[in-house]
This record gives sequence, C-alpha cells and structure tokens, in this order.
Amino acid sequence: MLGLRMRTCGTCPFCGLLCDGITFPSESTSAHVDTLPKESCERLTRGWLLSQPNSAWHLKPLRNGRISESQAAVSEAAQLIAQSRRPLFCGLGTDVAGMRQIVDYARHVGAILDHQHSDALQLNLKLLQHGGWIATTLSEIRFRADVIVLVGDSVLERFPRLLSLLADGTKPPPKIFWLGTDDIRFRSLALLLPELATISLKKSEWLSALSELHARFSKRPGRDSVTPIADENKNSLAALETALAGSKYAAWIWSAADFLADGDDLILDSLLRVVTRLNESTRSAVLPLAGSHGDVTAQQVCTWKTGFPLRQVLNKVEADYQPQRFRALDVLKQSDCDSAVYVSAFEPIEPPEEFWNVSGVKVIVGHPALKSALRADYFFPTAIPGIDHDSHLFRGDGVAVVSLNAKRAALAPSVAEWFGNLMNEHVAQGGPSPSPSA
Amino acid sequence: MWTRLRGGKIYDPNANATGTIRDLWICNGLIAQPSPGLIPDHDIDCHGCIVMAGAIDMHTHIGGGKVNLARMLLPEFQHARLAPAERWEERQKLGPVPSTYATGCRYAELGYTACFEPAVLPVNARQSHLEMADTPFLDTGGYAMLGNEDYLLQCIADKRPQADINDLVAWTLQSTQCLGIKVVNAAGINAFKFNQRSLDVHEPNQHYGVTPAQVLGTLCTALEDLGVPHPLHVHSSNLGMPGNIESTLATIEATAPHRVHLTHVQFHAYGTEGVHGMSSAAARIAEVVNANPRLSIDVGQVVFGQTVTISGDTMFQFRQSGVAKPHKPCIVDIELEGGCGVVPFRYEQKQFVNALQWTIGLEILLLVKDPWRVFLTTDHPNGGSFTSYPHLIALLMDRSYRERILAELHPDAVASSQLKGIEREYTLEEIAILTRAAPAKILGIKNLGHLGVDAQADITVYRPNSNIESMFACPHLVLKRGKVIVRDGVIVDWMSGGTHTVRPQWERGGIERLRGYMEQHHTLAMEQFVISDEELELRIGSPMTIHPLLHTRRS
Repeated sequence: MLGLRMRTCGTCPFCGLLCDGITFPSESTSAHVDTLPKESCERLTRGWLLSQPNSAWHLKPLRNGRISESQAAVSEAAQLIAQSRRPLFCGLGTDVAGMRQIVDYARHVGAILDHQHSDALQLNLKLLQHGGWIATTLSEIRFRADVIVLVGDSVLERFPRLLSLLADGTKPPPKIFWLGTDDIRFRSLALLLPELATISLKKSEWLSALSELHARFSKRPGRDSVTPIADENKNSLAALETALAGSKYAAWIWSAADFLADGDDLILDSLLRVVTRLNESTRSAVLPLAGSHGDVTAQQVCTWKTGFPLRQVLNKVEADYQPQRFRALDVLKQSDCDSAVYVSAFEPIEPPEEFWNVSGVKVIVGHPALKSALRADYFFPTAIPGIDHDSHLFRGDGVAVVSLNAKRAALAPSVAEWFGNLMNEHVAQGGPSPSPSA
Repeated sequence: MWTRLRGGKIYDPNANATGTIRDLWICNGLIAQPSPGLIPDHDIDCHGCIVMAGAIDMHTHIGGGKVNLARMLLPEFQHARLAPAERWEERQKLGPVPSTYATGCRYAELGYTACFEPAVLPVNARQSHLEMADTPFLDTGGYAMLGNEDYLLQCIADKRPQADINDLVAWTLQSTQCLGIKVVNAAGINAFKFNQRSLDVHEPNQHYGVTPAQVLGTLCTALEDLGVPHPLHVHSSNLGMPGNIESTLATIEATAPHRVHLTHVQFHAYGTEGVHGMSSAAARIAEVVNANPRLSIDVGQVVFGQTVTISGDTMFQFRQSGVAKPHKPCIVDIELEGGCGVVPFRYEQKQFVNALQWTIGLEILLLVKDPWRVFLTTDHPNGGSFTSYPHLIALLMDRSYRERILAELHPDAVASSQLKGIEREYTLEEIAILTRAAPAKILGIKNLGHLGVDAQADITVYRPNSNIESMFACPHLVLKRGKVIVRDGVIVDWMSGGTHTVRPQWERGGIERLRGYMEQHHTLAMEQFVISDEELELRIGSPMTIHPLLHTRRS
C-alpha cells in the first residue's frame, strides 16, 4: 500500500461548480474508501467513493462481457459502427478532450450527438434562442449581488457548495430568497437553512407570482392572476418584491433540471421578463447553472466544432441540427439509430433501458464500475476526468474552462484515447471520412 | 525538401517588390535562399500569377465564449455545410458565426493564413485558445481584455504605482498566452454593472471615480514600459453614438504621446450634422491619423445583410438591444473582468444609418494616406462576415464599382457622402501592405506577412483576373508552411496553425496583491487563469511562437 500524498489546490470534477482548493488524498491504485477529501460535500463524497477501485471494476475491455484484447475489440467495434446506417453517440459524460475526439469521430461515421442531460440543456437553450437573456456569472454574484434568488427545489442539492462559494465576506451579506415548490422535500430542506427566506409555491402559483412581479416592475397594473396565491405566501412574495425594488444587483439562479415538466419553460420565460423589466431601472441578471457530468462541456465543444449545439447528426460534411428529432431517448425509442455508443466517465451512470433495444452494435465507453459493462457488445473502461488524468471542463456558468490535475495514476485510458483509437481504426479500415475533397 | 514557385510576379512590400518577376524558394516550411544550381524537389509554375504572402486578419472574432454564444443563439443563420464548398460564390453564403472548422477552411480558401482574436477575457482565454486550435490552417493569437476589471480600477483609484500595473499587464499577457492588450469602452463595461448607462472619456466611473482617460493612459504606459510590440488596441467610448467623433478624438488625445491602435474606427466616426442628426466624420478622423504617426486604425467596414454583433461592450450592446434583428439580445456580465453582448443585426442598404456606415468605412480607408497604418477589417462578424473581403478589396481598387453600389443606397446617405468625389483606387502593392505586411508589422510578428528569407512560407498565388473580386475570392494556390493547402479555391490538404504570443517580464511580488484580491472576491483560484506553455502546446494543441519584445522592461 502506498502512503498518502496530500496535494493542495485540487479541483473537484463532480458538479458544475468545479470547486477549487480541495485537499485530495492521493495514491496510485489502492482504495482508501475511508479517506475522504477535506472540504468534501455530498457530490464530492459520492463521486470520490465511486471512484475508488474495487474487485468488481472492469478494468479491461470487454467483448460480450468477456475480457478482450484491446486492439481487437476496438477494431471490431469500429468496423461495426462504420457499417451501421446511423450511429447514436449519447451519454457524453466526458471532458473537453474527450468531446473533441467524439465530434471528430462522429463526423467520420455520421453520428447523432446528444448528452444525458440534454433535456435540461435544451430548456436553457430554448429560452436563449427564443428571446435572449441578461446573464451573469458566479464571481459577479459573489462580488456584486445584494439580492440572490434561488429558483427551484434542487439547486442546492445539485450544487452543494453554492452558497459558500457566493459568500464574499467583505461586504454586507446579500438577501437570499429561495423559491421552491410545496413539495415536502423542499420544505424540509428549507427548514435547515433558516437564514434563507424561502417561498414555497405550488407549481400552479408560479406564473401568477412572476406575473405580479412583472407587473410591479413594469409600472403597469397586473392582470388578474390565473391562480390565486395562497395567503401565507403573499407576505413572502411582498418581501421579495421589496428587496428587488431596492436592489442594485439582483441575481437569479436556477438549475433547469427542476423545470422539465410540460409548461415549466413558461415559468423561466416569465422570470426572464421580470429580469428585463428590472434592468430598465437597476441591474439584474440570471445564472442558469449547469455543468455536471460534462453537460456544458459537451454543448460548448459540439457547438464550436460543428456550428450547432447538441441534438444534431453530423452527416460527413454537413451538420443537421434538429433538436426536436435528435433527442437521444426518442432516437432510441423510435429505433432511429442502428448502433449506439454510450459515454459516462465521471460516475457509473447506467445507460437508459431503451439503449438495449438498438438493433446493431452497442458500445459503452465509461466508468469501470458500470454494471452494464457486462451487457454491452463492447465495453471500454475509462479513467475519471480530473481524478485519473488532467482534464479541461467547463464550469456551470459557461465562461471558464477549468484545468483539473490528476489526483492519482490512471487505471484505464481516457475517453479521448478510446475515441482516438476508434477513429484511427476507422481510417485504417478505409472507412469514409470527411476528406478535403469531400 | 525544396520547393520552387517559379516565375511569379512578387508583391512583397517589405522588399519593395511590386510585380517583380522572380522565383520563390521554400525549404522546411520557410522561405529560403537556395545554393546556385539547386534542383527543387517540387517545382510549381507561377508564370503570369501574382504572388503575395498569406493574408492576415488582425481583428476578427473567431474564438471564445461570445462567439460560441452567438452560434448557440442563432442556429437559423448557420450554414449547415461543414466542409469546403466547391464554388467561391457558395462560400459567400457562410453564416455570420461559422464553426471553427468552417472558419479555418473559408479563411484558407480566401488566401488568409493568420487571424487574431481581439477580445480574449482572461477567464475565457483557455476556451479562446481551444477554439482557435480547432480552427484549421490558421496561425492565431489574441488580445487580452483589460480596462474594466474591478481589481484594475481599484488599483488606479488607489493610485497604485505604475510598476504594479505593469506587473498585472505582463502577468495577464503570459497567463492568457496573448499577443497584445485590448481595452473595450474603458471603465464603461464596469460602470454598467453599477447601473451607469453612459460614460464619456473624461467622465468618472461613478463607483471607482476613475475615468476612461486614466485607464487608457495607464495601460498605454504599461505596454510601452514592457516593450510589447502591439500598441494598446482600443475600442473607444460611445461606440455607435451620433457625435462620437468627439469621444474618439478625446481618446486619441488621452493616449498621447503613446502609440495606440484604434479599432473598428468606422463605428466611432459619427458626427451630428444633417437632417437625420448623424453624419460622417471620416475626414476628421483621417486627418488626425494622417498627422499622427503614432496612430494606427482598423476600419470595421459594414457589409449589407444579416449578421450578429458580438462585443465586450455590454453598455453599448444593452442600449442596442431594442434594434436586435431577430429580437433576442444576450448580455452577460463576466467574472469581475468585463462582459459580452450578442445582438443579432441586419444592415440594410436602404436604411440611412446603415448606408452611412458603409460610406464612412470606405471613406476612412480611402482618405488615410498611409496603408501601413490602416487595416481592412469588417470586425467580423460585427460589420459583416470576413467572406466579404474580396468584395471590399474590389471596392477599394475600382472606383466605378463602388460608385455603382453607392448609387443604390439610401439617397440621403449618398447625398451626404464624400465617397463619390474620392478618386483613389488602391494598387496591388497597397493591397499587399493593407492585408499582409502592415498587420504583421503592427503586431510585431517578423515571420509572417512577407516573402523574405526565413519568413514562414505562407503564400497566396492569384491568377490575374479583370474581375478583382473573383481574383481575390478564388486564389490559384494557397501554401501553408510551404505545403499547398488550397488549389483553385478547393482545400486539398490539411494543416494546423500555431499561437503567436509575447512574454514580458513581471515580478512575483507585484501580483501577490492580485492573488489576495482574487481569493477574497473571485470564485476561481488564481492558478486557473494561467495557461502554461505545456498546456497550450500539448493539451490545447497549438504550438507557440514567442515574439521578441521591443526592449527590456523599463520600470
């Protein structure tokens, strides 16, 4: 067993905040399940524990559940993907280098691209593409915001260190409101944070509440609310309204995963209208926070390399962006692909059940603890970005690419290496490629 | 391995070659001098052809967060085709913010081999370099944005010694791996975050009490003290506002006696005369540039049609939100450094203001006498796409062509324009200066923009054509580091570019104060702002060239 080597300035890869300054226990291969990083939060604890190797890990490539020689498995998988009419590359839980290789390979084989969080990504994108927005970033909020409104039930669960990250300490603390649903879980979480002014609204009340705020800041009388707001919430909303009216910089933070039900997009759309109104006289901005499992990374890299966001098919020399058509889950359900590659390198998140209905080859490139490794036609185990190898990841506010150092020696190749191998094999086999003369 | 380009007409302003017929020899990717009697491994016949260095776009938004935000915002204007188009007319249809892949292809097809991203926010520098590294064929570089950071403004407000600012500037250049410093609406983007809606050159940012003039003077001094070749790259105050010529002239005055580069000057050269309350001030700006050798400018020429404006100037972009076409403006405050505003826009030739803008850009290009100090840019994509360069070159070289187009514009713009009376037509030699030699010189890059021995063999070969636009749109050959990458407008081989940077000196003690500030107020560790040489070359994937400074640090 190797001794622990403490490193400072470690960066955590397990949520979109990519928190810095974490002291990771570091060793080469041995498991130290009982040793957690200092300053660990729930997300880091989970990610770190899941990243500790054990005897159930699949550290060798598998073919039909049996250990296979690496080169042979890559060669066969590349051949089968090339022979398929329409491959789907989904999951896409990887870093910048991995995503760069995935897009390059997708261009060679004409694959559909979509991320496991794409419903949430797509919701934010739809809002942006519909009417634009006035947005902000984490340091701006920490430095400047005097009012912060957390919107949605799970934002603090998804980003556990958000509040401490936003605490500057040198200025008067901002007034923080937390706008959630009447769900019991939210109410219990809210009780743990008495310093926050929590407002628990039924989903049906949200539009009315935002509409009243909009009317207040447009200096126009509001229409009669479709859904009356319960009396116990009226005072809380009045406090929010007063705080906003006196604010110099009000920031609104949400995680789109809380707004995936039908009609929820209207809530965020209404919120954006409130922010637009506020900016007529003061400053206010939104932060649609994301970034877990490489979702913002996948979106950004895909966009710069192809010109379009995810949910597209790369057809050799053209990108066909159809967000309604190329949602991975729908593609799988409707059998619109005949081969599929699923990528999940951060944590062992299993592919959706529909993945197994694909008629052709099913390949998983992912975490060695994935149980579905045994079920896939081909499984290629990967190192964990930012834990096992140096990595670049987009932070959840989308403005910073953070550089993460490896915390230990890698036990498996990276996603980028596997996709590089697949592409090299594809080219070596004479597969069609987007050559200069194409 | 020797290659010879045989018998072409060489236009190389650095060597005073204006159509001189001679052979050009290439060895190991560089222009070289062969020993007498050497037989080349490759011999390329260039008889009758015009040979220039690869063109350089010194101000084009090709990589970074705001460009990618614009791509996400506007899929409806994106051209789906990724790979090279077969016909040059097809290439003109490229959307305003193409993918990195298409950007590299289209620039190379037009004979451009180096491009410089003018707005690299330090926090976003890694993304900018990643995107530029994924842009094939092009050598790239960036100008790091300073002038709106809360830290810098606090330093100026606190009257910190110039040496501290010099350390900050040098550290920023090294950390971001950039070639120069750009300031956008000095102190104004910051003021907007504090809800100040306008800021003139001598007006204080209400929070810090610092004026744009102070910021400009401080940054100009820093670059001069450090010996950075490219002067401060300035996006002046009050962009787009009628009457902003006064701010532009005040900016010039505030930067005296230092060298300074004013960018997209067309957007900063507006008077207030005439029935529409807006007029051309091109003659005034040209007069000042002609009289002051310390000044250089690029134009930011407007091209009619749909585009998207992407700028760090959130104060201006917020003001412009109402005229967004389609109406989906996007404004972002970013990390105590600056911001970005993405506002889709359509320039209409029958619209007075847009027509006036078109005439002002050309007037400036034609009235500034010294082609070494004026650069042809569209501020891609703000004025229009870079794919319009062949068209714009044709306008500069052919008076009758530009007058034909002028006649189609809004009549009030035509009536108020001086353009009709300007006889000047650019020569091929002047085009070679404007698009090659001068950008390399102003950036301090000695191995690009010319065809002398040891220059990088980035070369464009044109077949003469009476249709100037066709000639520049479809070069016969484009070579990158001596290898043919484009033949008759079609990509025939692949090659990556590299990153150009400078490395001024800084003292560790000078940035410790910054470290303390960042630990207090920022959400990223200071180390995250540093892109090491190894990271740039191996993980980002762009080999680097460090260019020499003008002198060692002075203070």
